[in-house]
Amino acid sequence: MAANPQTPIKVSEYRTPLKRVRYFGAAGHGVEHFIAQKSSALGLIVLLPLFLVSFALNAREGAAGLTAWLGSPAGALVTLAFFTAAAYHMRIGMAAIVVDYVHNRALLYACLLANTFFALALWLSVAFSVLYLAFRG
Amino acid sequence: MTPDWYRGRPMSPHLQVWRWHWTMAASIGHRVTGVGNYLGVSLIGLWIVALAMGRADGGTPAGPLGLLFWAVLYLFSASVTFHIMNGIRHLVWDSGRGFDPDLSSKISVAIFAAAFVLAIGELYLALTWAGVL
Repeated sequence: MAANPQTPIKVSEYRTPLKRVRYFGAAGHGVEHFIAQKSSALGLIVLLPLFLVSFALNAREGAAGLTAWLGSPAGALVTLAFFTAAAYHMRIGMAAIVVDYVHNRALLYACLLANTFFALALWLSVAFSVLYLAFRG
Repeated sequence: MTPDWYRGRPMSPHLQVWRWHWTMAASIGHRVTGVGNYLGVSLIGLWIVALAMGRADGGTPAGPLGLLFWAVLYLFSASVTFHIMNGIRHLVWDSGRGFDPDLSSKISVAIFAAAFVLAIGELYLALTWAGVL
Protein backbone atom coordinates (compact mmCIF):
# COMPACT_ATOMS: atom_id res chain seq x y z
CA MET A 1 0.00 0.00 0.00
CA ALA A 2 1.37 3.40 -0.96
CA ALA A 3 1.99 6.18 1.52
CA ASN A 4 -0.80 8.48 2.57
CA PRO A 5 -0.85 11.15 -0.17
CA GLN A 6 -2.28 13.77 2.18
CA THR A 7 0.01 16.40 3.69
CA PRO A 8 0.86 15.34 7.27
CA ILE A 9 -0.46 17.64 9.99
CA LYS A 10 2.26 18.72 12.45
CA VAL A 11 -0.03 19.18 15.45
CA SER A 12 -0.74 15.59 16.40
CA GLU A 13 -3.39 16.43 19.03
CA TYR A 14 -5.75 17.39 16.22
CA ARG A 15 -5.75 13.87 14.88
CA THR A 16 -8.57 11.65 16.02
CA PRO A 17 -9.22 7.96 15.36
CA LEU A 18 -11.87 9.15 12.89
CA LYS A 19 -9.09 9.91 10.41
CA ARG A 20 -8.01 6.29 10.25
CA VAL A 21 -11.51 4.88 9.66
CA ARG A 22 -12.87 7.54 7.32
CA TYR A 23 -13.75 6.27 3.79
CA PHE A 24 -13.47 2.63 4.90
CA GLY A 25 -17.22 2.19 5.43
CA ALA A 26 -19.37 1.84 8.51
CA ALA A 27 -18.48 -0.71 11.15
CA GLY A 28 -20.67 -3.73 11.76
CA HIS A 29 -22.48 -3.67 8.45
CA GLY A 30 -21.88 -3.14 4.77
CA VAL A 31 -22.53 -6.63 3.44
CA GLU A 32 -26.33 -6.31 3.40
CA HIS A 33 -26.35 -5.36 -0.28
CA PHE A 34 -24.03 -8.21 -1.15
CA ILE A 35 -26.24 -10.75 0.64
CA ALA A 36 -29.42 -9.16 -0.75
CA GLN A 37 -28.01 -9.30 -4.28
CA LYS A 38 -27.05 -12.97 -3.97
CA SER A 39 -30.37 -13.94 -2.35
CA SER A 40 -32.44 -12.22 -5.03
CA ALA A 41 -30.15 -13.80 -7.67
CA LEU A 42 -30.96 -17.27 -6.30
CA GLY A 43 -34.69 -16.49 -6.50
CA LEU A 44 -34.36 -15.09 -10.01
CA ILE A 45 -32.61 -18.23 -11.30
CA VAL A 46 -35.98 -19.95 -10.81
CA LEU A 47 -38.43 -17.05 -11.24
CA LEU A 48 -37.00 -15.49 -14.39
CA PRO A 49 -37.16 -18.55 -16.69
CA LEU A 50 -40.59 -19.37 -15.23
CA PHE A 51 -41.90 -15.86 -15.95
CA LEU A 52 -40.22 -15.38 -19.33
CA VAL A 53 -41.26 -18.75 -20.80
CA SER A 54 -44.87 -18.39 -19.56
CA PHE A 55 -44.99 -14.77 -20.77
CA ALA A 56 -43.66 -15.68 -24.24
CA LEU A 57 -45.91 -18.76 -24.59
CA ASN A 58 -49.00 -16.69 -23.75
CA ALA A 59 -47.86 -13.85 -26.00
CA ARG A 60 -48.35 -16.22 -28.95
CA GLU A 61 -52.09 -15.64 -28.42
CA GLY A 62 -51.54 -11.88 -28.71
CA ALA A 63 -52.40 -9.21 -26.16
CA ALA A 64 -55.63 -11.03 -25.25
CA GLY A 65 -53.65 -14.14 -24.26
CA LEU A 66 -51.23 -12.09 -22.19
CA THR A 67 -54.01 -10.21 -20.39
CA ALA A 68 -55.78 -13.47 -19.56
CA TRP A 69 -52.56 -15.07 -18.25
CA LEU A 70 -51.56 -12.00 -16.19
CA GLY A 71 -55.00 -12.03 -14.56
CA SER A 72 -54.98 -15.76 -13.79
CA PRO A 73 -53.91 -16.83 -10.27
CA ALA A 74 -50.74 -18.62 -11.47
CA GLY A 75 -49.81 -15.85 -13.93
CA ALA A 76 -50.39 -13.06 -11.42
CA LEU A 77 -48.40 -14.86 -8.73
CA VAL A 78 -45.42 -15.64 -11.00
CA THR A 79 -45.40 -12.07 -12.38
CA LEU A 80 -45.60 -10.48 -8.91
CA ALA A 81 -42.86 -12.73 -7.53
CA PHE A 82 -40.61 -12.15 -10.55
CA PHE A 83 -41.00 -8.36 -10.58
CA THR A 84 -40.46 -8.15 -6.82
CA ALA A 85 -37.14 -10.03 -7.03
CA ALA A 86 -36.17 -8.28 -10.28
CA ALA A 87 -36.83 -4.72 -9.04
CA TYR A 88 -34.82 -5.48 -5.90
CA HIS A 89 -31.92 -7.06 -7.82
CA MET A 90 -31.74 -4.46 -10.60
CA ARG A 91 -31.73 -1.56 -8.14
CA ILE A 92 -28.69 -2.93 -6.29
CA GLY A 93 -26.90 -3.82 -9.54
CA MET A 94 -27.42 -0.38 -11.09
CA ALA A 95 -26.38 1.30 -7.83
CA ALA A 96 -23.06 -0.60 -7.99
CA ILE A 97 -22.46 0.67 -11.54
CA VAL A 98 -23.42 4.25 -10.58
CA VAL A 99 -21.07 4.20 -7.57
CA ASP A 100 -18.24 2.97 -9.82
CA TYR A 101 -18.58 5.54 -12.59
CA VAL A 102 -20.19 8.68 -11.16
CA HIS A 103 -17.60 10.61 -9.13
CA ASN A 104 -19.38 13.94 -8.70
CA ARG A 105 -21.03 13.81 -5.25
CA ALA A 106 -24.23 15.69 -6.12
CA LEU A 107 -24.70 13.76 -9.36
CA LEU A 108 -23.94 10.48 -7.56
CA TYR A 109 -26.72 10.96 -5.01
CA ALA A 110 -29.10 12.22 -7.70
CA CYS A 111 -28.45 9.06 -9.78
CA LEU A 112 -28.79 6.72 -6.78
CA LEU A 113 -32.06 8.37 -5.78
CA ALA A 114 -33.39 8.26 -9.35
CA ASN A 115 -32.45 4.57 -9.55
CA THR A 116 -34.27 3.78 -6.29
CA PHE A 117 -37.37 5.74 -7.30
CA PHE A 118 -37.40 4.12 -10.75
CA ALA A 119 -37.16 0.56 -9.39
CA LEU A 120 -39.87 1.32 -6.83
CA ALA A 121 -42.13 2.95 -9.45
CA LEU A 122 -41.69 -0.01 -11.81
CA TRP A 123 -42.52 -2.51 -9.07
CA LEU A 124 -45.54 -0.56 -7.80
CA SER A 125 -47.05 0.07 -11.23
CA VAL A 126 -46.58 -3.54 -12.39
CA ALA A 127 -47.90 -4.93 -9.10
CA PHE A 128 -50.94 -2.66 -9.28
CA SER A 129 -51.57 -3.54 -12.95
CA VAL A 130 -51.35 -7.30 -12.28
CA LEU A 131 -53.66 -7.04 -9.26
CA TYR A 132 -56.07 -4.92 -11.33
CA LEU A 133 -56.15 -7.58 -14.09
CA ALA A 134 -56.55 -10.34 -11.51
CA PHE A 135 -59.40 -8.77 -9.51
CA ARG A 136 -61.07 -6.24 -11.82
CA GLY A 137 -60.08 -7.36 -15.34
CA MET B 1 -5.48 13.71 -10.46
CA THR B 2 -5.96 11.77 -7.23
CA PRO B 3 -9.56 11.49 -6.00
CA ASP B 4 -10.14 12.26 -2.33
CA TRP B 5 -11.31 8.70 -1.58
CA TYR B 6 -8.19 7.06 -2.98
CA ARG B 7 -5.68 7.59 -0.15
CA GLY B 8 -3.18 5.04 -1.42
CA ARG B 9 -5.66 2.17 -1.58
CA PRO B 10 -5.94 -0.02 -4.67
CA MET B 11 -8.25 1.35 -7.38
CA SER B 12 -10.58 -0.52 -9.71
CA PRO B 13 -8.79 -1.83 -12.81
CA HIS B 14 -9.22 0.41 -15.82
CA LEU B 15 -10.28 -1.09 -19.12
CA GLN B 16 -7.63 0.89 -21.01
CA VAL B 17 -4.64 -0.59 -19.19
CA TRP B 18 -5.75 -4.21 -18.87
CA ARG B 19 -4.81 -6.92 -21.31
CA TRP B 20 -8.02 -8.46 -22.60
CA HIS B 21 -8.79 -12.00 -21.50
CA TRP B 22 -11.95 -14.13 -21.38
CA THR B 23 -12.75 -13.73 -17.68
CA MET B 24 -12.42 -9.94 -18.02
CA ALA B 25 -14.72 -10.05 -21.05
CA ALA B 26 -17.21 -12.14 -19.04
CA SER B 27 -17.06 -9.60 -16.21
CA ILE B 28 -17.76 -6.72 -18.59
CA GLY B 29 -20.43 -8.83 -20.29
CA HIS B 30 -22.09 -9.32 -16.91
CA ARG B 31 -22.36 -5.54 -16.44
CA VAL B 32 -23.48 -4.86 -20.01
CA THR B 33 -26.15 -7.58 -19.92
CA GLY B 34 -27.14 -6.37 -16.44
CA VAL B 35 -27.92 -2.93 -17.87
CA GLY B 36 -29.69 -4.67 -20.77
CA ASN B 37 -31.81 -6.65 -18.31
CA TYR B 38 -32.64 -3.40 -16.48
CA LEU B 39 -33.95 -1.89 -19.72
CA GLY B 40 -35.69 -5.11 -20.80
CA VAL B 41 -37.55 -5.70 -17.56
CA SER B 42 -38.60 -2.04 -17.56
CA LEU B 43 -40.04 -2.31 -21.08
CA ILE B 44 -41.85 -5.57 -20.23
CA GLY B 45 -43.19 -3.86 -17.09
CA LEU B 46 -44.43 -0.92 -19.15
CA TRP B 47 -46.12 -3.39 -21.49
CA ILE B 48 -47.96 -5.00 -18.56
CA VAL B 49 -49.06 -1.56 -17.33
CA ALA B 50 -50.28 -0.71 -20.85
CA LEU B 51 -52.29 -3.95 -21.01
CA ALA B 52 -53.97 -3.15 -17.68
CA MET B 53 -54.65 0.46 -18.76
CA GLY B 54 -56.19 -0.74 -22.04
CA ARG B 55 -58.42 -3.08 -20.07
CA ALA B 56 -59.31 -0.32 -17.61
CA ASP B 57 -60.39 1.91 -20.50
CA GLY B 58 -62.92 -0.74 -21.42
CA GLY B 59 -61.14 -1.67 -24.65
CA THR B 60 -60.62 -5.23 -25.81
CA PRO B 61 -56.95 -6.28 -26.02
CA ALA B 62 -55.41 -5.92 -29.47
CA GLY B 63 -54.68 -8.89 -31.72
CA PRO B 64 -51.25 -10.28 -32.64
CA LEU B 65 -48.26 -8.60 -31.02
CA GLY B 66 -45.93 -6.54 -33.18
CA LEU B 67 -42.37 -7.34 -34.21
CA LEU B 68 -41.05 -4.69 -31.81
CA PHE B 69 -42.57 -6.61 -28.89
CA TRP B 70 -40.91 -9.86 -29.98
CA ALA B 71 -37.61 -8.08 -30.66
CA VAL B 72 -37.57 -6.67 -27.11
CA LEU B 73 -38.57 -10.04 -25.64
CA TYR B 74 -35.87 -11.81 -27.66
CA LEU B 75 -33.08 -9.34 -26.79
CA PHE B 76 -34.10 -9.53 -23.12
CA SER B 77 -34.01 -13.34 -23.13
CA ALA B 78 -30.61 -13.43 -24.88
CA SER B 79 -29.18 -10.90 -22.41
CA VAL B 80 -30.64 -12.74 -19.43
CA THR B 81 -29.31 -16.11 -20.66
CA PHE B 82 -25.72 -14.88 -20.42
CA HIS B 83 -26.34 -13.00 -17.16
CA ILE B 84 -27.86 -16.02 -15.38
CA MET B 85 -25.06 -18.41 -16.44
CA ASN B 86 -22.33 -15.96 -15.45
CA GLY B 87 -24.33 -15.14 -12.31
CA ILE B 88 -24.33 -18.79 -11.26
CA ARG B 89 -20.55 -18.75 -11.72
CA HIS B 90 -20.42 -15.68 -9.45
CA LEU B 91 -22.35 -17.63 -6.79
CA VAL B 92 -19.79 -20.42 -7.08
CA TRP B 93 -16.99 -17.84 -6.71
CA ASP B 94 -18.72 -16.55 -3.55
CA SER B 95 -18.25 -20.00 -2.02
CA GLY B 96 -14.48 -19.50 -2.43
CA ARG B 97 -14.15 -22.01 -5.25
CA GLY B 98 -13.17 -21.68 -8.89
CA PHE B 99 -10.59 -18.88 -8.67
CA ASP B 100 -7.93 -20.69 -10.70
CA PRO B 101 -7.20 -18.31 -13.64
CA ASP B 102 -6.95 -21.04 -16.28
CA LEU B 103 -10.15 -22.75 -15.15
CA SER B 104 -11.91 -19.37 -14.91
CA SER B 105 -10.86 -18.56 -18.44
CA LYS B 106 -12.15 -21.91 -19.76
CA ILE B 107 -15.46 -21.48 -17.94
CA SER B 108 -15.75 -17.94 -19.35
CA VAL B 109 -15.31 -19.28 -22.88
CA ALA B 110 -17.87 -22.02 -22.16
CA ILE B 111 -20.38 -19.45 -20.86
CA PHE B 112 -19.94 -17.25 -23.96
CA ALA B 113 -20.30 -20.29 -26.25
CA ALA B 114 -23.38 -21.63 -24.42
CA ALA B 115 -25.00 -18.17 -24.36
CA PHE B 116 -24.38 -17.83 -28.11
CA VAL B 117 -25.88 -21.25 -28.93
CA LEU B 118 -28.90 -20.67 -26.66
CA ALA B 119 -29.39 -17.18 -28.14
CA ILE B 120 -29.66 -18.72 -31.62
CA GLY B 121 -32.24 -21.20 -30.32
CA GLU B 122 -34.17 -18.36 -28.70
CA LEU B 123 -34.03 -16.38 -31.95
CA TYR B 124 -35.59 -19.33 -33.77
CA LEU B 125 -38.38 -19.57 -31.14
CA ALA B 126 -38.99 -15.80 -31.17
CA LEU B 127 -39.23 -15.70 -34.99
CA THR B 128 -41.56 -18.71 -34.98
CA TRP B 129 -43.84 -17.30 -32.28
CA ALA B 130 -43.82 -13.86 -33.90
CA GLY B 131 -45.13 -15.52 -37.05
CA VAL B 132 -42.10 -14.59 -39.18
CA LEU B 133 -41.01 -18.19 -39.81
